[in-house]
Amino acid sequence: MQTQSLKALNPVARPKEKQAQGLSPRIDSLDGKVIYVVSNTKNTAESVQQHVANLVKERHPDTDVRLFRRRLGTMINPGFEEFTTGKADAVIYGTAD
Amino acid sequence: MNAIEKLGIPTVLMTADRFVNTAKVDARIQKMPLPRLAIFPYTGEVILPPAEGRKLSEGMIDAIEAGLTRPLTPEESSPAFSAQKSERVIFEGTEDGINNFFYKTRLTDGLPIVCPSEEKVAWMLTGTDLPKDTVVAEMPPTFGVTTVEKIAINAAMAGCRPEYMPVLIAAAEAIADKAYNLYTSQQSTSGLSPFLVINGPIAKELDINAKYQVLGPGWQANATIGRAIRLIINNCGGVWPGMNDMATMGTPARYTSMVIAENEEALPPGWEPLSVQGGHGRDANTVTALTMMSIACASVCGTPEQNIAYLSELMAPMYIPGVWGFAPYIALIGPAFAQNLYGAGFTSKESVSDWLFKHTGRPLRVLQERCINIKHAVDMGRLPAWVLSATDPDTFVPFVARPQDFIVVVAGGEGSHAYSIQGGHAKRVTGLIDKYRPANWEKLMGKRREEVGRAPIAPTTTKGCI
Repeated sequence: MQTQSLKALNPVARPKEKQAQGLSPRIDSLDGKVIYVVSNTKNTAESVQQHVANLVKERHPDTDVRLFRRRLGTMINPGFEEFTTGKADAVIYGTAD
Repeated sequence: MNAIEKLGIPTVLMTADRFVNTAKVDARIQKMPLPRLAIFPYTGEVILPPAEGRKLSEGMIDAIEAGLTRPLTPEESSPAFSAQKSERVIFEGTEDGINNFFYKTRLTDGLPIVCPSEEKVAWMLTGTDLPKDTVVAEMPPTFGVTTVEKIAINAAMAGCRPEYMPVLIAAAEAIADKAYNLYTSQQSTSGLSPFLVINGPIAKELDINAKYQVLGPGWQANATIGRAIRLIINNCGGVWPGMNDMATMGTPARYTSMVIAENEEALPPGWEPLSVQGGHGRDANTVTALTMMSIACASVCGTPEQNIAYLSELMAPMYIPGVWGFAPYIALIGPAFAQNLYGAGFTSKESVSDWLFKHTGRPLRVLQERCINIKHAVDMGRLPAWVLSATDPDTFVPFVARPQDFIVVVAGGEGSHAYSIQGGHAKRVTGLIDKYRPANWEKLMGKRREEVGRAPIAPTTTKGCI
């Protein structure tokens, strides 16, 4: 029968505290906007990227739809330049397996 | 994609239903609301026929459009998160009660733990001179701030001794290196485990097995250092199966993270230890972080050329359809196998890697027949770019992008075997252990010899006679 009481220290490491941030305001319509369809190069993302772009274009013919492929392993992956230079009004991001 | 939202660009995430939890965890870590989602049923990791790709896209397009245009809710605009609690003592009770609590709260690997009490953790911290609040790494994938004390707590749970701390700190630093890509390997469906190779005199000092049954049980350092690394990944990296660890099968190696020492005594002339290959001196104590998933065994059974061909043949079927070139691979070569190759003119590890690179692969038609996404593999740096323009179906396509994607390690007992070990998602990272050794190392070693020193096994000794 165990009677000795032990105190266990916490093995969990929490991430650094970050400032909470909301989502970006939405656009009113896709019409006339620059929309990026991003694939992270996984197979399903690759399979749907062009189709999603086509469907957006079918629904909104005057939308500028651009394809963008982003390498997996996002920790070590640059390639955000497209999104930091004000080119994109909205992004459809495929992370699909 | 949270990073794109942070730039002020509205974004919708297309993801498979089974990965929604991963999106939730990522958002929580970023202190952001759940992203707007367009969810589709998981289809497996294959390139879909165009008709199916179109159908899947049609099923998402309404959610995509609504996700980009529907005004945000107040919670999405200004999310509120409760402050993170991080008590220093998380449970008080008996040993059984502590084990039950740690199991229920998913803080263990399923095996009983040693209670990480104040006293036990203080003992563990005698293994390094670093202050306990020193940050060693932000451990992927959730980037938990991993201090020396957090390493010591998990090490205590795993049953480590204090003198393992320098190895543990160097290993934690190595696996958190961006090049090692723990972020992906621990969330991927492929279920990889770290494979850690120790080089240098410290391997013998700590009795880290390099010889008979090098991948098996019987050595405290191999078992508990590896187990501690697994617990650190779980508890500091913040992964759990089915939540954000999406490993379909995982691997038994994840229990102990496969810690071995390289059998440096068995290296043939010209075959450099991993420490030297990693840019360090011959006497440097290092840990090299590799990854592993599955294993296949080859034996010396013919000429050296036949033997290395056998090793190569075992590697070739290990590719994963869709991600050809899932490097790096480990050729874990036993002493007899290594001598056999050396005798045939393989005068360096690099010569073995070069041979494997030239001979391990498949004709292009095999990749085409099996829906290998060549564009993906090239884009990921897993195949040479010339493969994209190859048209002859009989063109030999190498298994990986470079010879150095085959990493040669010599270990094991005096048998005839070699293992092909499938890795992936990582670049090798070699870290120095010595900088974390305490000033009183010799005293620690004396204590070690007194408490757990083991006599060499005499050839005539059997366990029953001890």
